[in-house]
Amino acid sequence: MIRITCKEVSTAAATGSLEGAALLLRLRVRLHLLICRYCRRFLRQLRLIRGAMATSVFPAPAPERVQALERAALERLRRL
Amino acid sequence: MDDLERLVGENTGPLLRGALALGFSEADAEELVQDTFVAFLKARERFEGRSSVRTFLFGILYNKGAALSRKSRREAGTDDVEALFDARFNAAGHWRAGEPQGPEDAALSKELAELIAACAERLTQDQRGAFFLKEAEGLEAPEVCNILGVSDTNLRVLLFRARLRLRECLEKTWKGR
Repeated sequence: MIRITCKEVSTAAATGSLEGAALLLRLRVRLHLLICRYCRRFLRQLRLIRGAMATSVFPAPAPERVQALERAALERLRRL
Repeated sequence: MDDLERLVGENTGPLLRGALALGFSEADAEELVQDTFVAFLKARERFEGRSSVRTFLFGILYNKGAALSRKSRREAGTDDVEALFDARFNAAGHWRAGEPQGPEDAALSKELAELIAACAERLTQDQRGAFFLKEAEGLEAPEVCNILGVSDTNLRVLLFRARLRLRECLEKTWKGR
């Protein structure tokens, strides 16, 4: 069965099941995306969210803050 | 550089970022990181090298974080966001009239990033942790499961709900700009 529904496509994308999925599933999803702009939009938005989470939502702390914490942690650990 | 300096030098930044990702204040996050190193030194003999030192440290950090906030470690029952998601499809599994709306940009603009960051405030601590480890640290699912102490199924549920919640929030705030 090559047909796949919008709900199956968006569920697979949102659970992360498409990562490393079987070739047949990826093919079915790709064919579905060719004809469904709503699923294309849904998947594009998930990609945007992933990018934002990696870069803007969880930014790396300032280097000077990390260095100060390293010093404090080392001092505490050496006293143990 | 001795072993202790290397341990602290290589892991303080990622651990602090991970603690802040859980939503802790800077002071609490810094305390958590220090406590994590202390616990690691005390439990060193239990570290069997089956995971990386980083994974082991994240495991301690997230355990301590959960204890600190006394949040449930498991996602239980159902979540409103799943009902919202289900209601978007008809019996045949196709989008109803309420098809997904919102931005279609291929690139992440500053405005979009800010909207998503505001939406992320609504995630649970476990959802934030799972998202951080998977998407920001780029760890593989088995490592994330190991750190959070959850099953593969539970991790999928965490990420599923987090992604749906963020997308729903993005659609809503995009409309109301």
